Amino acid sequence: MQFEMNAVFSLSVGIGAITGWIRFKKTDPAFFPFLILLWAGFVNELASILIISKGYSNAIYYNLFTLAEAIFISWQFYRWGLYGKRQRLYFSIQCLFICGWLTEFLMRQNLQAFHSYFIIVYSTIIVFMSIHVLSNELFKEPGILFLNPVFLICMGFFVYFTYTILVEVFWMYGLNKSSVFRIRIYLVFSYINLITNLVFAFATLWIPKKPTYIMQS
Amino acid sequence: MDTQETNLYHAVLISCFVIGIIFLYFAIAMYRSNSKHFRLLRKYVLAEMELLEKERTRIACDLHDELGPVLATTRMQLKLAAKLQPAADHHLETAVENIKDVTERMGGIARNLTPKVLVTRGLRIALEDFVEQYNEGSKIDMQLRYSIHHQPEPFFALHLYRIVQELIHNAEKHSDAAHVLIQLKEQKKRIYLYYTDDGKGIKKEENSSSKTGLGLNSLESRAVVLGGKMHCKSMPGKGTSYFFELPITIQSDEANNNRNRR
Repeated sequence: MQFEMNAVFSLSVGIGAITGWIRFKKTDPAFFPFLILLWAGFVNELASILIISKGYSNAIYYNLFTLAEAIFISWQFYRWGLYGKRQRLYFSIQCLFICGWLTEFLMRQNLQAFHSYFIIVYSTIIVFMSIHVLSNELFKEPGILFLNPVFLICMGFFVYFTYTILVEVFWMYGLNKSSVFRIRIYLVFSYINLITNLVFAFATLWIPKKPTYIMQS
Repeated sequence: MDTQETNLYHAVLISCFVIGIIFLYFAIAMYRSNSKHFRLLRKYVLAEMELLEKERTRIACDLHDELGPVLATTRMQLKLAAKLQPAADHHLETAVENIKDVTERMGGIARNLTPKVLVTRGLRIALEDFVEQYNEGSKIDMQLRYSIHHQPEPFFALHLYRIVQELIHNAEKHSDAAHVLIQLKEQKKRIYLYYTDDGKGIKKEENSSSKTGLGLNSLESRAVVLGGKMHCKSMPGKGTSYFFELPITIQSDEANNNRNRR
């Protein structure tokens, strides 16, 4: 029952992914990385459910997805102008993600182990980036914040990745050995996942349309 | 304590630390964005006010330089016509008087738009002139107590002048007061402006909505632009008092000397 519920909650990312796919042609290109992230997330969830249901571990898929997720989110922040003119900083962060992932991969030498250190590092960076954009959005021009896709997406990132950091810290200390504890943590996580996915789906609806340049010949 | 328990405590401790860091960063980011937003807002308001002052100066110049000579010439021509046409003497004399009134009124409007005296003779004389002019035509007994020792920068002086102007206009229009007292005091690089009247006061709901509210907003935004703050205290039937605390920006000695030489 727990597995089915988790699967349904995880697949809720599909609502945003499908909405994004329908609106793709009209969507502002500044939000493309986010849409790609949603599609990648949806494919990852489908693959994970399939693999787990056949009795295998989804660690390899998950680890690869974490790297892609970090790169796409950083790219999204770049498109939103978080780095301003500091392109070097953006490329350095992308390199940091790739090097960090490779280092942990080489250190563990085990494809079946989850990359906890990497997850903690990139989640922390994403949380800080989200906070930065959130605080800017709060003091921008007046408007309904809950209809602002940047605000909604950053709120989603902030909540989801903060909890991810906490989960990974507990994992690092071997607390996943207690099955009751693990189930409780995952129960909360699945609800957070559901809420975040719904927020992302809602944000996808409010993504602005592609600007039309009527003066262009 | 067994290993599992120790690990749990470590994990909880680290989680609390991480959450603490996140909240700290959140607070810093909010504070920085707020300051940035306030700086930008101040810049916009300043630019808008500067534009408004420029427009006032332009209108005053147009009134003085273009309409002034035309009215003066018309007055002279009417006087001449009165001499040539004794039959229409009475009507022409009235027209001359009307032209004189219009010229004086226009001069008053031009002075009100840009107080030249503020630039040429400083804030003290400009305020004293303004209060004196108001005292001549108003039922309200106005008093000005000025004890600022340094000459403020022109921009600061202009805003201070506008604040006093707005306060007096408000008193004249809305207060029904018999006495108004305005005190300006300098202390420790700050200027304190205290205004009090014995008028009918402002009701709380009037404060935020009506025309008085608009005037109050303008006073408050001027205080904020100058980097200060404003407090307003009013009770129906018990008068109104305003208190402004503004950091003074002093004009350089050279500029002071230049003005004295003029």
